[in-house]
Parts: sequence; structure tokens; C-alpha cells
Amino acid sequence: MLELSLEARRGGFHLQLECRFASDWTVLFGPSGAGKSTVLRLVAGLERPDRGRVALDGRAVTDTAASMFVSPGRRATALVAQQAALFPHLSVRANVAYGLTGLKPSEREARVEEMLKLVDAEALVDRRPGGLSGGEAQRVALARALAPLPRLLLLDEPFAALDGAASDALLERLQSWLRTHDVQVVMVTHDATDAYATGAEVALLREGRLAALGPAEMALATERNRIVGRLSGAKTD
Amino acid sequence: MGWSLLKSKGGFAAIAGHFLLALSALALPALASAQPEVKLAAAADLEPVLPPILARFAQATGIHVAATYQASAMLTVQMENGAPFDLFLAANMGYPERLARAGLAATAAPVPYALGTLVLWTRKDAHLPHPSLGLLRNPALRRLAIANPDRAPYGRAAVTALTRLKLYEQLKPRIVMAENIAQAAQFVGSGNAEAGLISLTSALTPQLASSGSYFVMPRNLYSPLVQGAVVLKRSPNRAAAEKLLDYLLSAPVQAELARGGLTPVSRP
Amino acid sequence: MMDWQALTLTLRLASVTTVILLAVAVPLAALLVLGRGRWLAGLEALAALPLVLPPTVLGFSLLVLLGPRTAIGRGITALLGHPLAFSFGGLVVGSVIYSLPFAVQPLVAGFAAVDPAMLDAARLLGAGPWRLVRTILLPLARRSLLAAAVLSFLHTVGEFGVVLMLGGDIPGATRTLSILLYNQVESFDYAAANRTAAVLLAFSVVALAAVYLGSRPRGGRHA
Repeated sequence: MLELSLEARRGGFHLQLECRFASDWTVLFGPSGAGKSTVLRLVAGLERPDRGRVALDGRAVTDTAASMFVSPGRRATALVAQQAALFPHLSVRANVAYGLTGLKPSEREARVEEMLKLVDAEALVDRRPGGLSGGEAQRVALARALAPLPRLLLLDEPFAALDGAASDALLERLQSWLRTHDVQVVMVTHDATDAYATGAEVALLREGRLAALGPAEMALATERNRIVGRLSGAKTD
Repeated sequence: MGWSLLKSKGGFAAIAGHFLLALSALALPALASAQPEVKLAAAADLEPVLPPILARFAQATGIHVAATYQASAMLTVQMENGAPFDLFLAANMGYPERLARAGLAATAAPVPYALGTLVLWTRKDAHLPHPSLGLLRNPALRRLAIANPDRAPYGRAAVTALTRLKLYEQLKPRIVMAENIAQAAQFVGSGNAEAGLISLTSALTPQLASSGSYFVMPRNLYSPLVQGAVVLKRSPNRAAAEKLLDYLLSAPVQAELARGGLTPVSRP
Repeated sequence: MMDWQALTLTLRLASVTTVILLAVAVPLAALLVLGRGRWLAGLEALAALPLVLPPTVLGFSLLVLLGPRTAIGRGITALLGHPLAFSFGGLVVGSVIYSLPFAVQPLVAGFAAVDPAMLDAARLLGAGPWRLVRTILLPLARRSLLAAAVLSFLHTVGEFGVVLMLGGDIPGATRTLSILLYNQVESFDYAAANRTAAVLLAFSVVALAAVYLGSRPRGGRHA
């Protein structure tokens, strides 16, 4: 469970959020500029809020009132964004193993294999990131992020580079693995179909504020009406 | 976050490792030679005349002299801050007197070892008339080199002479100032200045003697350039330094200095 | 023969200075790029100060600081048995300070050019600041490290004002090639001066060529 109480100003943009994500899979939905990526970065600890608190499973990782801040590497949190950001000077194997310094070499080998299998990228193990396609890189990035077995997985539109069928298959395999390993997921998207497809809880973010939180049908009702309205409006001659 | 970078173990170990490596390299030169040696701080005007004299001294006594030629002021400042010289041959009495007042000299007063002479030198190819006082009034003179009066006694003598001739203000825009008196000779020797108020010792060098001519500035135009010497009190080679000074004051060497442009001083 | 002494002294000075500088500049540059806080701007300015300081001013300040007039100087003298100024050690101190910007600035530029997304990814995977420097910043900013090393080295080789003021031009101990050149020119020994200048020049050209040729990506920069 993720508890958020955040206030942050970035230039003219003002984020103010107070909510609780209890579901296994939460979709953070909203138009561009709504602040979705900022929320993920604040949760991950890559940025600090002006004021606020972030708690994962009851344990506070950011708390400005208590001057407390846990570094991103210690939050058991993973983040995969649109850019794979693989380390170009390391092989795929070394990339995936980067977060596994606490493991014995044999365990590390095994975990790397397991993760690459999960994302269907075993064949890429000794390749360099420079030679990978967008989709391949994204899959490796997922493997790398999940290798240390995080408690929370943050996805910032990571499937943009993958074609529909590939991403659906990957998503299915992932969902089952994530359930088994008890990983909570927060996924940012501005594609409404993703929201419906995962059957997740949806948080609608608009101009830095939470506009709705609940099952897809409810939270996206206004969105659906808006799309329908535009479509029918376009029909008029 | 900032400080954790410096405090992290790996970083510290790496830095410490590098420092140890560097320190060991520093230690090597500390193994100095045990040969008797005199570190000589000499005024720049001595550069043309001293080296053969020092070489002969080394041959005669086995004492090697490591000489450095700089502006007297610079050397004085360095010695005041701990420079490890054994003997100081200045271009005036003032600077060694300053060291004596600071308690750094072995004797209460500096020993005069030579009398310097200021000359006006012009390049042959500058197409100027022969050097004389009149040349200083000549508007065709475009650049006059002198040593920096704040640092070099010869420079101060040059300014004094020009002031007494009532020409200083007039010539000021055309004056180029050198670091020390040897550099002033450099400026004229290389052609960057057509004329210069330099030391007689420089004017007598083969290079300048063949490429120009000089005129001895009348002695009443400037205070005598009595050049004084002091042995440094905390020198580890005092005996050797005193031996060198005695050698320089001996008649044959004084005669040689005279041939090189330094008038001998009469010994008390 | 004197040329050799000055040459080896100069090489030793430049090498020791470069090693120390890299050890100091890498963490300093990483701190400037990765750190947070307003005071870092002041630190960066301080690290650039030697660029605008006239060498003789720096030399003189160090001379007084390290000499018998200050407590620091007296302390160091007591420790070493001789003053730090007018010795090789003093030259190293002077050179490190004087060439500091030439090591720090390329490294800061190189580190800052590394994609922040990579740093974020590494941080999330548990990398602390030293691991970030060692596994991400340095490998991806290799050319900057090279530039820092080469520039520090050559800048020290060419140094004059600081070395003269702080070193006292003591043959064998503090008479570097650039001072030797100055002396030779001043005593009209143009033949020797030309030789020394040629050594300085050739040395710099060879060092620069070897380093930059070796670091060119295969097939040219725009392959």
C-alpha cells in the first residue's frame, strides 16, 4: 500500500495530492502536463516534495515534517520509464545484474537468467544496449528494474515502444509474476485502453490534483463521455 | 547527499592511495647530495660575469656553487620567507641591509663587493645617433628599456637619473619596464626596444658589444650602486659561503669583475 | 647536461601534480554535479579561482603561507625538517592549486553531460555516490578524464610564475624547463634556449597527439 501526501511546485505547475493506493495495480491517468511523471519521481525518491509524506506499506520513505528522506536505492522501489536508460558501456547481463550486489555470484547468475526469461529476452544476454531495438531495450530495462525484487514497481508509459500484441503478451506474463512476488504496481498512462485492460484501480490526475480515484468505469466516466462527445460532435455537418 | 560522497569508504581509500603514491615520489628528491655546496642568490646584473668565476672557484676548492640570478627584491622576499640560500650578492646595499635588520644575516652590515655602473645602450641597426645624454632628448627614440625601479636597484638608478635630467615625465610613455636588469638587456638585445638603461656588465657581453654601443651615464645622476653581500645566518654551509665571499673580494677576482663591468670596491 | 636535470624535474613535477589533481578533482567534480545545496555554487567558483589569479600573486601568497611567518608554515617546517617552499614539495602544492581548474572543469562538464536518466536508474538500483562515480560517471565521461589529465599535465609543464616565486630557481631542485628557458634567454644563450624551447614544444605536441589520437572513436567522430 502506498500513502501519498504531496505538495510540490515546479515553475508554474502546482501539484497537490493526498490519497492512498491500496490496489495491486493502480493506473495513474491524465492528460500530459497533469503531473503524473512528477508523482512517480517523488514516490521513487528521485525528487523531493516541497512538503509531504510518502509511505510504502506503512513505512515512511519521505517525510518533510520529520526531515526524513530515504535514498532511492533503499526504497525497494523500481521505476521504468519511456527511455530504457540502459548503461551503454555494460552488457545486458551486467545491466540486469547492476542492482544485485548483495547476492553471491551464483545467485546473481540465476536471477539474471530468471528475469531475462520473464521478459523473453534470454537471447540478448551478452549483447550491448547499443545494438538493441526500442522494444528489446525496454524489456531489458524491465528485467533490470525487477531483478532486485522490489516491493513497488512504477511504470511511466514503458510500453510506448512496443507494438500492441507484444506488449499485451508481456503484460500478461508480468502480471502473473508480480502477483506471485507480491509487488504493487503504479502505472502511468494517457492511453485509456490500458486503464480498462488491466482492470485496475484508476487515479485520474488533472492539473496537479486528484480528480477521481476508483474502478475504471467510475473514474473514467467523464473521460469516456468527453471522447464520445467529441466523436458525436465531429459527425455534425 | 554531498558529504556522503567524501565519507564513503571506497572514495577515501582511493584518494589516500593516490596521496601515498605522490608522497613517496616527493620523498625521493630529499635524498640530496652530500657534496659541499653553496646556494647563491645573485642579482641579475651578475649573470654575464659570475659563471666562469664560480666554475674556477669550484675547481680550486671543490665547492660547487648553485647560482640563481633574479631581481634583488624578489630574492630578498624569498629569503624573508625561508628560501634556503647561503650567500646573497645584491645589486645595492638596501636589500641586504633589510635582511640584516630582520636578523637573517650573519653579519650586522652587508659587505660591499662591487660598484655597479649604469649605461645607456643603443642598437646599431636602430639608426639612432650614438648614445649620449642628448639621445634621451631625441624624439626619434621610440622605446627605452629600464629595469623595474620597484624591484631592481639599477631600475631605480635609471629613474633617478632620468628625473635629475628632468626627462622622466617626458619619456614615461616610451619606457618599457623589465623584471630585472638582465631582462632589460634582453629587451634591447632582441630588438624590442631600441635603447635601454642597462648595466655595464650586460653591455660588455659579446652579444650586446657586437650589436650596439653604450655610453656611461654620469655618476652624479644617480646614487652609487654599491653592491653588497651577506652570508645568511641559518645557512648550513656558512664556512663555504664565507670562503666564496672572500674569493670574490680577492684582488684577482675583483680585477676580473672590473673587466666584466663591475668596478672594484676598496677593502677597508 | 643541465637540460636533463630540468627535464626530469619538470616531468616529475607534472606527473605527481597530475596524479594528485585527479585524485582531488574526480570527487570534487562529482560533488559539484551530483550534490545538492546552494553552497556548491560557491565551491565551484572557488575551484575556478586559480584561473583568474595572476600566477605571481598565487606564488607569493603560498610563499608567505608556507613560510616561517605563519603558524601553518612553521608547523610544516617542524614536520618536514625544512620549509616546504623552495623544495619540490612546495612546487607540487603550488602546481596543484594553479592547475586545479584545468582538472575540475573538464570533469564537471563531462559528468554533467551524462544522461541524468542513467544516474536515476543507477540510484534506484542501489548505487551510492562512490559507485555512481566509479561505474557510471567515469566510464561515460572517459574523454573528460583524459582531457583533465592531459591539461593538468601540460599546464604544469608550462608553469612559470608560481614555480619561480615558490621555488626560487634552485638548480636541480626547483629549476624547471620553463625557468631554464627564461634564464637561457636572459643570458643571451639563444642556442640553448632554442633547444629547451624545442624540447618543451615537442614534448607537448607528442603528448597531446598520442592522447587524442588514441581516444578517437574508430571511423571518426561522426561515423
